[in-house]
Amino acid sequence: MQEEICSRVCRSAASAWKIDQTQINKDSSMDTITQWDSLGHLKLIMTLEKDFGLIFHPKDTVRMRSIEKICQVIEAAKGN
Amino acid sequence: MPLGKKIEIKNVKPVDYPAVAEFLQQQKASDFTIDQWREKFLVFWDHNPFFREDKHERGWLLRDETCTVCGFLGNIPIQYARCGQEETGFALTTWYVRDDARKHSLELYGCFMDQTGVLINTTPTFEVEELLKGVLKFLPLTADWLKRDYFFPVRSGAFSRYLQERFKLHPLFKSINFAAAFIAMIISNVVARTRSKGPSLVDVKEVIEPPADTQQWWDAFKAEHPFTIARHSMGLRYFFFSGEYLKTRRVLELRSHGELLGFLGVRLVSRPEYSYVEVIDIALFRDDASMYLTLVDKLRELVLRWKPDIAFIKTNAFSEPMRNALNRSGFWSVAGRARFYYFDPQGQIGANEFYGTPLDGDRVCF
Repeated sequence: MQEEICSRVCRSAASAWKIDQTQINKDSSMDTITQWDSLGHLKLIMTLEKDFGLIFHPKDTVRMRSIEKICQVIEAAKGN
Repeated sequence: MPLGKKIEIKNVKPVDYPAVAEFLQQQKASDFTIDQWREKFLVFWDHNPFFREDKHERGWLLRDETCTVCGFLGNIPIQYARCGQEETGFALTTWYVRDDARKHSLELYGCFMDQTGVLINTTPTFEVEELLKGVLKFLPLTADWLKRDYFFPVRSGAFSRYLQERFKLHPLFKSINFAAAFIAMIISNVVARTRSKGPSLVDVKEVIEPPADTQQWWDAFKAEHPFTIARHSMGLRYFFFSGEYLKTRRVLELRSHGELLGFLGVRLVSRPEYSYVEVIDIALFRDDASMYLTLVDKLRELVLRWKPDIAFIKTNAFSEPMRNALNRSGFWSVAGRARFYYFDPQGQIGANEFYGTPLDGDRVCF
């Protein structure tokens, strides 16, 4: 389940930042990806909300600073 | 709370004031000197009657590995009334992060968002505005008064300097601009002086402290508005009569047959090239054009005797009758520039239930 979500998140992130998906994996974070600044974060969250059909809580969105954290938030949301 | 190898985030304490002030001065967050920033911090927190050391944070800062401040977000606690009950809201101020720490700027915002009260941001940059709407789910206040700014030119030379700055006019147009400002001033004064003056149904006078019946008025006012900033005696004292603002703010009270109808608050804004008077708050029970006509006349009188070099009066039309009164009193209007975003963790306040004025947010603190 988490691997599938992680793969979809990486695909969404690549699409949001217009970079190759191979540059993103579950260990990626704001510290490792150049495009992931505040504007990049905005693009990512909006793409994820569209792709997963979710609306994230604002308190979660500011903490979704790594692919792993994003996957956890989405998994929890899907579980609910 | 380490964020990574190099940057840490911490709550701002008074001991951090000098380092934060130095950082903001280096970042050119405004024209303030380090000392002016430190004075501003006193207004935000130490002299703020709504700030509680045991309950609220002054803000948060980022420090690099040399313990140098590389980011800051300020937090101003302000009291609001929600359905008649007072609660604390928080205005964001002065969010600055050094370029090499930008990736941590959202962590600062995360701390701001962790608070339980309504959050206000009235000074977002374009990029932050997109974040607020798209990611952080802030709502824009959609009140009509935000759409247009109204001006009454008092002195044409200084007013033309303001126009030059606001509309970024080419210096070649200086003479034309001056002529336009002069003509605008003449027209405004002719309109204001020749409009019919009916009998004044309200008494308007300047007050230098909250009147004795303020609490009675406030109890009735907050019952009429689902969500609004607290204007009880303590609130009025902080916003208008405290030491920091005593010389730059004035309040007019309105009464009808002795009954307090409400207040209009203004501030003097001083720029190197000109100064102007801005209406920063209006809170009234009744809402008719004749009342506003009297109020506008009194405001003009106040401005003319306040300081000799005031360029113009700036206001917004906070209601349709007020718009009508401003148009009949020789005010000019242009598209408004104010932005106003809020986030209610309880998710209950609709944009049309929030009685906001320029008093909300941090803009009037500067």
